[in-house]
Amino acid sequence: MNRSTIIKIDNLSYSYPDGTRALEDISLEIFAGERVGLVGPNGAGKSTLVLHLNGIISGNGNITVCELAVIKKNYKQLRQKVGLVFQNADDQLFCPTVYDDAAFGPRNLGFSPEQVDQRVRRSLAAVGLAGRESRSSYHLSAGEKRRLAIATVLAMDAEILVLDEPTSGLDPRGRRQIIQLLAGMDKTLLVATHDLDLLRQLCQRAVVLSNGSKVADESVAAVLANHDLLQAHGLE
Amino acid sequence: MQVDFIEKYAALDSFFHRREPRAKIICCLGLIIILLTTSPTAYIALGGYAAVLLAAMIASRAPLGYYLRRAGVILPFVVLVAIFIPFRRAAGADDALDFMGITLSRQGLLIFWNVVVKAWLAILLLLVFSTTTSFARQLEGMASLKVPQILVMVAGFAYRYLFVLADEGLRMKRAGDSRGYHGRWLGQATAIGQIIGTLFLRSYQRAERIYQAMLARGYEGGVYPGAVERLKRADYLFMIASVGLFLTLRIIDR
Repeated sequence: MNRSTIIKIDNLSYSYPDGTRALEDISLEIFAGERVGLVGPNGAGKSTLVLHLNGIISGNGNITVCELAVIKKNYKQLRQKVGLVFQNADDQLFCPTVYDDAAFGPRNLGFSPEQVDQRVRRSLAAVGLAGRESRSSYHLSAGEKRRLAIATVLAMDAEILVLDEPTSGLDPRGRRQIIQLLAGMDKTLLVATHDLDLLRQLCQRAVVLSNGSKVADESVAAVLANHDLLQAHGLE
Repeated sequence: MQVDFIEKYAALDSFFHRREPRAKIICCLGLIIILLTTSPTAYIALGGYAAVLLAAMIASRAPLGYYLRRAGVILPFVVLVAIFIPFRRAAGADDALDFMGITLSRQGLLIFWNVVVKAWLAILLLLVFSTTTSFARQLEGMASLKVPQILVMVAGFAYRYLFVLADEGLRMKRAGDSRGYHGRWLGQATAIGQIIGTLFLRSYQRAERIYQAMLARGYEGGVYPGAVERLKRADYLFMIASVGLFLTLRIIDR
């Protein structure tokens, strides 16, 4: 198997404007096609870390994604390559209709209306929301909102999908649909979660974050078997 | 929460629903100008407008009662603004009118009537527009009429998050009620202030997250033109017919 590096993070640290340390010297390498779970309790720094991958926030340290340094001049390309799915779908779905939300990214990338249309229809079909184009996303169920949020980044043809708590607040059926949807994708996945079930079903590798530091980076099986580790970091 | 009320009848199908939003906006503007320039004593013209609007409301398939209830909302505001006009008399004017011992001015009454009837007809007209056009279509219409994109976006955000915010407020109220809050005593006013403050902070934080989500999908502050639909022949006919109808009424009775 060709193990080409797709995300490389070197000694990343980040403090909030008020001085609180959120990330402490994180180094991490993720390979193309891998499915990695980013696990940790609430407030561990998972969301902060993923926001670094396409330059939404920037701390100290070097990050390279798809052979591009995460610096201002590459933001545009990076945002096309890294599809970020936010924790709260209501934050991500800000357009008046389902169609417009899926079209927002492709339009920003400068595609023609026909290309935009094609991408929107393809990505909505991929998440099972075809036929809902003219609805307001406010009227969708929580599970549908989450799937639409995924479609909005699929429409940009992202190479890496980064999801922040994709199953939080969903009922079992909604969870199952999201897990199946993600399992059927041949993209690099980085999933920030504390849903160990999701981790078991979807990922091969688990990176454990706690208090802003990386405390483990092993196979999912090894992490799940390590009860002391899980207990120490509030995951069990 | 029941929030469908804004677009309750937008998904119906009627002649008015099928018209292009741009045509409807232009029409509304034209008709309102004609309405406002009509003399308040042109009773036939005003009655004619009302009859045309009534026909339009019926043709739009939304219930009449819905229109009248929604239009009624505007009346208290108009009346509040205009209520004192009949009591003022221009110096030297000899048009005093005695009504149950209260002196009114004929001229003032006419102005009052003018304001109330025109506001009411105009709001009915706009209701026919907004009832038969989903909000997304209204935004499309604004954009295709070259309204600055930023205004269209702001309107879109307002619409999108109005309900989210209303829901959040409602949840907070329920949370308060569940802990015995009933907002009846002056001392409990503090809690209302806190709820409003919290709502404001949460909206502020949400706005931050939405902006991050926009950036993450390549937003750079740019504007992109949406696809502009062509006006169909029926849309042109609709504009000409409705403006023509009002204009005729306006001209034959002045």
